[in-house]
Amino acid sequence: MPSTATKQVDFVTQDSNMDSIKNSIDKVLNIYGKVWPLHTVNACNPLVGFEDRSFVEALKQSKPLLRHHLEDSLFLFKDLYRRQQFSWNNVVEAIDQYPFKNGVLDQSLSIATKTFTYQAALSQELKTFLTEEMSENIILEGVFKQTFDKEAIIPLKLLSTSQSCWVDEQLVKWLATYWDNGQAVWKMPRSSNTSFYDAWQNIIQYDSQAPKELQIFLKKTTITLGLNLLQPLNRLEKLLQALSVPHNNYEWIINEECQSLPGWVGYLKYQQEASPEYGNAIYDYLTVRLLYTVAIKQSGFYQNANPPSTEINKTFTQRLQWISQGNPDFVYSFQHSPQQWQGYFNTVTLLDCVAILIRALEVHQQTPLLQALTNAYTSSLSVEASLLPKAQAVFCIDVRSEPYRRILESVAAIETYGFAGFFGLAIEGKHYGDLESLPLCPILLSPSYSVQESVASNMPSPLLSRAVRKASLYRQQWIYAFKKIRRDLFATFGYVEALGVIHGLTMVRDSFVGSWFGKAYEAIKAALQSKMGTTYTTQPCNQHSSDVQLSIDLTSEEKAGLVASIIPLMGLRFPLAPFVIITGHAAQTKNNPYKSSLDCGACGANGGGYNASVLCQWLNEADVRSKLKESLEIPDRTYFIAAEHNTTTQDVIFLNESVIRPQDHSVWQSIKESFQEASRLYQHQLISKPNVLHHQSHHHGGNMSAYDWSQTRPEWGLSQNQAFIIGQRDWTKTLNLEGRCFLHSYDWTKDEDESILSLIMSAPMVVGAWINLQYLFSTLDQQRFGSGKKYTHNVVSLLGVYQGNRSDLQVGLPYESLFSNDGTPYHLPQRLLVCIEAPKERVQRIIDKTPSVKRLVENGWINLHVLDPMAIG
Amino acid sequence: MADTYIVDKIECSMEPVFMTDLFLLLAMTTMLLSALGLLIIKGRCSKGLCRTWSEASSWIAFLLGIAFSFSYFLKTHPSSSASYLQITTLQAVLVPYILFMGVLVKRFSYNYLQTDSHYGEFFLKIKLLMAGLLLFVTANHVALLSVSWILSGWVLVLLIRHTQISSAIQSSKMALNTFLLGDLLLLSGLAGLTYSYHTPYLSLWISNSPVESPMLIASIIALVIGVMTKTAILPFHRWLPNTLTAPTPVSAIMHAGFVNAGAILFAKISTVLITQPWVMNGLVILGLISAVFGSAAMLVQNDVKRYLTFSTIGQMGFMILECGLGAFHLAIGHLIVHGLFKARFFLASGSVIEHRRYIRNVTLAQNETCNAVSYRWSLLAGVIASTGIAFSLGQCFLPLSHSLEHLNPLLGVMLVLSVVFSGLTLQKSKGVSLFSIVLSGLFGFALLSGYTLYEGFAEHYLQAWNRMYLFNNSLFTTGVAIIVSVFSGFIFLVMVGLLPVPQAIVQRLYLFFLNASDDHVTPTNFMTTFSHRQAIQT
Repeated sequence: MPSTATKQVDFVTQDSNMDSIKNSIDKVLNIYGKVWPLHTVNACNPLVGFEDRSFVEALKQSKPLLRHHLEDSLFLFKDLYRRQQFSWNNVVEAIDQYPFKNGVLDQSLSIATKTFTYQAALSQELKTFLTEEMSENIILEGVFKQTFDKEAIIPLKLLSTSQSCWVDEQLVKWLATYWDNGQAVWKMPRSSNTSFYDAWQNIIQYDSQAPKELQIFLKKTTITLGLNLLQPLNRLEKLLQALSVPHNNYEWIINEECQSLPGWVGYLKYQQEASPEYGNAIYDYLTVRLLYTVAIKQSGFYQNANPPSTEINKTFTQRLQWISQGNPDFVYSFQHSPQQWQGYFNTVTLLDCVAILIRALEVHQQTPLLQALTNAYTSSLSVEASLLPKAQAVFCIDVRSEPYRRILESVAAIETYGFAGFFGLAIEGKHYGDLESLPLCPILLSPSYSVQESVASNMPSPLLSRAVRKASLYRQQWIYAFKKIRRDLFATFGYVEALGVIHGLTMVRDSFVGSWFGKAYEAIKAALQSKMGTTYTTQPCNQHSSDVQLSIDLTSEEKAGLVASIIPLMGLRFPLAPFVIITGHAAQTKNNPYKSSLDCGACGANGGGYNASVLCQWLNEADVRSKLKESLEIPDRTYFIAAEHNTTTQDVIFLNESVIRPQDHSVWQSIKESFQEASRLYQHQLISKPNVLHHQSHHHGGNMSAYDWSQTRPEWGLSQNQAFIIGQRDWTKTLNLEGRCFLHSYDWTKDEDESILSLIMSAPMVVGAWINLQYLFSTLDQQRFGSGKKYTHNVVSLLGVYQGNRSDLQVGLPYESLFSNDGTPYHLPQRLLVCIEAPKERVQRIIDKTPSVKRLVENGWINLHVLDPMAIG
Repeated sequence: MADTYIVDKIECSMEPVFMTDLFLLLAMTTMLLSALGLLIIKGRCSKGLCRTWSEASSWIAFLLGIAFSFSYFLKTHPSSSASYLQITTLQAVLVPYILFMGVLVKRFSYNYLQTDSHYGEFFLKIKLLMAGLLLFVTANHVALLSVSWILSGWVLVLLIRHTQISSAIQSSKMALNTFLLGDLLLLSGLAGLTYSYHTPYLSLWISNSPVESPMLIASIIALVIGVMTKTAILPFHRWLPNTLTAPTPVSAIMHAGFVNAGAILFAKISTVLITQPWVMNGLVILGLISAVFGSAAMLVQNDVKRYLTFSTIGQMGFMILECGLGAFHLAIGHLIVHGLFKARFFLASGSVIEHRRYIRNVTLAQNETCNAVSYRWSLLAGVIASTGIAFSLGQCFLPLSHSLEHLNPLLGVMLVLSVVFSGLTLQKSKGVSLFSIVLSGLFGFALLSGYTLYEGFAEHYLQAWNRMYLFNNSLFTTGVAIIVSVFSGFIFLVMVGLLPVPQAIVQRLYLFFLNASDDHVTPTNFMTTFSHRQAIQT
């Protein structure tokens, strides 16, 4: 019987062991980005876990952990340089601005009788690289291989490359099966809410892919360590002990297990929060992996298999080529004093070069923009306030809204404002007839209210509405029924025989007359839309019950309270115009797994029309208006109209026109026509837009791509995003920002307590920065942070995409969204330029008190520029 | 009835029909010339030009194919039996089909592969594949047949490795190995047959009687096995799931045009096969095994394309089954219909996400428990309804008794199973019960009238082409039909829940099918080797 004293000691050790494991896992997970399922692909900074470090440090420190190849993007910059997207002067300026530590660049290399400072060497290296074509130099290669190309020191390696590849493949198989979201008909045999580990344990004994010896060791290990009876963390502890992993290597090992499947790890991270009823997904994943590892080590399985060949590291070879330009003195000095070269190469790394070139591109692209903004600002101060507008339109801050707003303002006297696309409503919503709620708010927030769409008797044409919605439901069931028939063991043969010809006709339709059908369908929808209406009932989230039909709504006081906090944030100029149009946006595309990446990011990668409809419904209710009388002066004549901007076809559809009384129809009609005129003009502009980067065959008629099932790039989405401008519309009204800027309306004079700017900076601005960084890293490293070319994609488990036969879950944006057809980047990789019209001290105070913003600004993840009205005006 | 079969003798007319031949030859020449053109211009011109050239030539070829088909049906004269090209109803039906698939898939690819750096090369390969398939369909001489067979296999291998990624190259090697084996077997089979029939012209194999010898049997067997490698029948199916590294349009054309080559060859040399009833029976068994295996495996797959791949394996098995029963016209019909179906689903494989919403709705709504009694009634009602409708409608086209007389019991069993199981699956979702009756009734009607149409078409138009019926006399097929009925009855009971199966067996079966799609020889490296360096320096 062990004494109490010993037991206590054991207890303490065990506890701290588990804590250290937990902490290690948390720390490692922190650096992996969350991966959302395909139907709501949200953009997030892939290096979000490194945001507490400077941009440059993040690039460097993430390399050994995330195994990216950002250095390869140097060639991308070479291409951009050739196309004059930035000049040599920009590079010089970037080197000057680069945050090298003091004195670093003054160190020198001595070659023959001369000395080169690091700065000179760097300049020469970059200049040669950007301007000249260098061929491989075999002599140099031979010299360098021995000296420099050593493998990085690895603290601990549990398995050989081929063995860990095998484990990767097995895990991909099990994860795809377990997390299947509706693709397989015959699902993994398990009871609901079984954790991944338990499900795997149940099934692994029957797996023919795991050889007999391996199975024996798996079983033995499970029983010996008593894994099935333990808690997840305890299991990990036992396994790590079995592998004799020292404490200080926990983080390294856990990262090793995660870094080969970053997509799946990201998805598990998402599921940990979204579906906690499945247990802790990450712990189970690690447990299964480590269990395989233990068994493989014991059985010696796959020990001698040939690993995939790795490329010889030619980095230093190439760098010396760029510096030396074939000069034999350099080669000599390298052979005889390699340490100084090692010093240089390790101090000025390739990632530093990448960061310098990013900065050079930014200087070239953003300086003129900043200049234009400054000039526009000074001239806008002298502009008088315009007359009362016909209507006021609130758009999402998305970059695609900006050209539409500009054209709309030129066509009619309509004031436009920019506001985050979820319009302040942190909700999860169900469309009519759907059983699953979608979160319709930014990923930074969690929904507070549940909304359901229904047809009420007091709506116009309730019978028609119900009939149409029911017809759509029947259509869904019909599609599903046929889907079920063809996914059946025997029925599938009959299905093919009987109904195969229809699919041939469908192909003909989609290939040749897809747009006619699509447009006809939309015309019918539009005609019906104006006569129908739905109503939205809202409840706070914690009261939501999925089985009960919601008929209880929020009270007018509650609605008024919410509205009263949202409307002032929009910066609308009072008195309000007769029509206030709240416009969300959504994309339209066919046969595209990445559709949600084109939808509104502020609405959790869904369409923005829903939030707009809910808000407008509340604002149009008489009870709510009367409760609002004390805080806001909304004229009785003002209508709030919800709209959705289709960013692919540029059409704007209005969702609740039925609230307009007959006497105001003519005025409304003229406003509607202005919108339609703006759509036409925008579409025309897009088609005739000359773009230096575009290859001729890239051009696509924006309108048709919405219906084209073969179009992998129906619209460019947020590509080429460049800046985030927070200020009054008067400031940017005269500028053509080419659809590259997020525009958020903000009136600094009406924000004494700084709450509005604080909200804008901590939420929309951060989301904008993350979108920008997502595009940046996806462009720079398609392999690790992007998802590759779409034509070899394979949708797996209805939640993600494989690249090719089988691979990790792809993260990030696909190639087609970022690159033109001739291989040049369409999205120019630069960090977000944030311009704020506000007093400098105000901005500084907000930065200081908001950690998420402080990180981004001080570590160089965004370029902040403040236009101080008090200094200029 | 003893083992008798009816063969319509071909009237060998020595009068070549000019226009028909001309159209066909022009169509094939267009394909080859345009391929040649692409070969010249591919690296040197813009993607727009490649597209225009390719589109124009595929339309011209397609229209020529249609003209060929029309002129054939208007005149219905067979070509001379000693010519290099075989022009019968088979060709008149398949040539426009292949060209049509070419047009559709290429049209899809113009936009879909717009970012591909080897754009022109892609279309060149597609054209060569189309040309190879066309030649294969129309070949009458053994040499042409072999050349086109090998050519289409080789071009497909090139297409599989189009993206030049290491995993793609590995997969293409596996496909190449399988094809090489198939080529060897096919060549030896054809050589043996040429010897036995003393002529290299396929159309003369019908009129000549062979020298009965072990060599004949051996060559037929070799031919059959060689064909099965390309048609992805077990055990030669492993290369197909590995081809997902190819761009989607390649998968579409592969599953729609290429894997059918087996049935096409069987139809071309149908009289030869008929002489060996036990080979036919072997085909029945192998086809049935593939059909069941493929359909079962497709149910467990987690990604769209693998699901479609195994579905193809199953459908090809069914097609070979139909060939084995002598119903070659049904097999060709199935081939065409399946091709349209599969190509569409491959090309539209990205739209599963759009449909996810419907799936979630129905999945969340459905009640998993089922009422066995209501099943049986609704199924019974469905089957009765469909039989009744089909019977009355079928009378318009063809006396049902006539077609039923010719309908093999095995096929009949499969038909009934389709209807029964369709009703079964639908009934599982709550709230569609009336729906399921109506739907399964409609479905059964569609099925039966489809078969009646095929039979009617065969009756009226296939006189010039070998058409044979294998009467439902063969004890063998009746025996197999009984086994299939018992087996499916068993499955029915399991699915309805009346027959419990031990978890261990379920798990084992599940994994068997799940692992069927894994076939790597060495551990693969997951990272796609795309890098800017490669992109720019090439």
